[in-house]
Amino acid sequence: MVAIENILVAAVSVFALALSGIAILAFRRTRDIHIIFLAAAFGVFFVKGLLLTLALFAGSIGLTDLFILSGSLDLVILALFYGFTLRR
Amino acid sequence: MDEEVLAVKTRKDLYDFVRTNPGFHLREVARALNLSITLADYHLRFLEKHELITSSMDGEYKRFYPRSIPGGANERPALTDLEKQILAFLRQPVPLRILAFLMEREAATHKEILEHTPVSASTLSHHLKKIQGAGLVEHPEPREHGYRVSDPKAIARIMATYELATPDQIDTFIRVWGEFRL
Amino acid sequence: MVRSRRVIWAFAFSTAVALALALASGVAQSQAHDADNDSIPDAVETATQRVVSAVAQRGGLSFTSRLVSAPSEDQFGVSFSDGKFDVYYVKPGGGGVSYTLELKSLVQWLDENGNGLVDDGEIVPSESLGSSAFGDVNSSHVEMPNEDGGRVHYLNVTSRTGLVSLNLTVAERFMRLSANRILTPMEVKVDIEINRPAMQVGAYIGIEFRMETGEDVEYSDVTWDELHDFAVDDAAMNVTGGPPNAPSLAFFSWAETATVDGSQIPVDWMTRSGSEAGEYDLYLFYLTGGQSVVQLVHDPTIGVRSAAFEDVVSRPPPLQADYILYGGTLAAMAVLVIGTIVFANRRRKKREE
Repeated sequence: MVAIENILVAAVSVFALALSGIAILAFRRTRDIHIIFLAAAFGVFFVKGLLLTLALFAGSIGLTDLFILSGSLDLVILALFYGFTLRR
Repeated sequence: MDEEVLAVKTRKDLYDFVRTNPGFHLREVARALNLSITLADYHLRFLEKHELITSSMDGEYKRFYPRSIPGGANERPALTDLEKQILAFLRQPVPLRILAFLMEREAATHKEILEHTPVSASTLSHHLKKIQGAGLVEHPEPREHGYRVSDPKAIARIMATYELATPDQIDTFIRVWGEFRL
Repeated sequence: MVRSRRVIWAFAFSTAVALALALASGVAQSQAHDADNDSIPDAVETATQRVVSAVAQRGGLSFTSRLVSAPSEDQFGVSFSDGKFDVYYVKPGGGGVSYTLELKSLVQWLDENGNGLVDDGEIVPSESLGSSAFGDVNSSHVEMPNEDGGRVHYLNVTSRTGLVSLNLTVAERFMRLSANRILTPMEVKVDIEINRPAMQVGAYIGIEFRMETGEDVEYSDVTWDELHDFAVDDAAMNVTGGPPNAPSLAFFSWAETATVDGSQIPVDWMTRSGSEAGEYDLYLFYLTGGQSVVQLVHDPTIGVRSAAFEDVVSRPPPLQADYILYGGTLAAMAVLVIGTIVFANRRRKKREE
């Protein structure tokens, strides 16, 4: 009877925000510009959490739209991670 | 903690002890800090070589004294840009290990450093490049001789004066993601 | 491993396990909100709720049952007069199905050769039903609110001599009748009561039905209700009509047990093609053990497979936003993250000392 979607979306948002924060601190410490990729990736993850929260509370979003939104953000996140691995 | 980093800590303890208890001789210093005579001697000689302490013979005893630093022995002096840079590197676990390792030797090749540092070759190259770029380490001709520290005294002074933190969550993040490369 | 690191790992592991369990249970129960405790999820009940209007008058009774929610509009109706049920179902987009079912007569089965089979000549008509028993009799209708079934309609018609009485029950929402039986809004329960039938010694009482329809008829030992766990131990005659790509189903089903003077007895059945095309004869035999009967009650069902029901059970469940759950998780996660950071920092500082 638990509306699990609420738990998931809240947990994702908190974890993503924490990891973005850690990445930003890592950048400040090392001044390695590539770490910005990681911070951005986790930041987009956080944005995804926010958008899913909005979709959950603001009302109906079709399965197709949800799929496209989620998939697009996942693509951006993975592209950022991949870009990070390409650094010299 | 590996040998070199432990050495840094031991040396700092010795330096602090000499500063607060000037005039003690070798055996007393060793006993006070629970070190073997040999080890204490080795580290004290390192500190003396890098002009952080000085010694004088008093009969058969060699006594150790702090070297006076402008601004007072107990104050931390204002840092120059170079010193700030050194500190920044020393606060990161991998550069700390590299510098601590190089401080013990005249020079070391990439391969030798790699044996003592728990990272991949490409990560080591990345860090060496950064440290070299900051001017802390040089890689002079002939290249086969390897890398060496540019200004050991400055680094030794910073190592002895400041707390070098054990890695925190941010450091772990940096180290782990540092390996995440093609 | 250092004790404090073990603590962090244990904490993280148990949190992960708890989350996995919550996830699993959430997935399993995501449809399960059931306010009236009849084990039908509220979402299904709302989507399949119907409006019933019934009429009972001299000579017959009837009702229609229509789906409340748009856009799916489907309607089924049952009327009874002169001993014959008239059943129809129409659904959106056209197509539908209909049949008539006549209670022809009470019969007796004397198993003279004791072989347990109905042989020729062993069935003897006992009492004619149909229009002779039910023509121009009174019927009644009562409507009562029910927490589970919504508005429930009870209709009754009794034969002229009082020998056979039919009690119809039709509800607007799913209604649990017993541990094994749920009445769906797409069917009407027809309790047949037989009172003090005259019987030969050693005979079994039975009812002869005749179904007439232009559609396909199939006999089945597993009914639509059984397939959906609304009933157990049923059998049915399934009537399928409408276009082949979107068929409609109406059925006449019956439990394989009946109650005689308080005890449960098995019900056997036999079918026969009628004399003309589109006619199907059905005999239900009540295996009373040859004893005389004061009152026998059996509850067949006339129902349809509703397009709305099929639609709603195949639809994925909607998202359910819950502020408290969301906010609570946010807070708990923040505590977890901050707690682990603080804990790790403290442990690190201790190591430095």
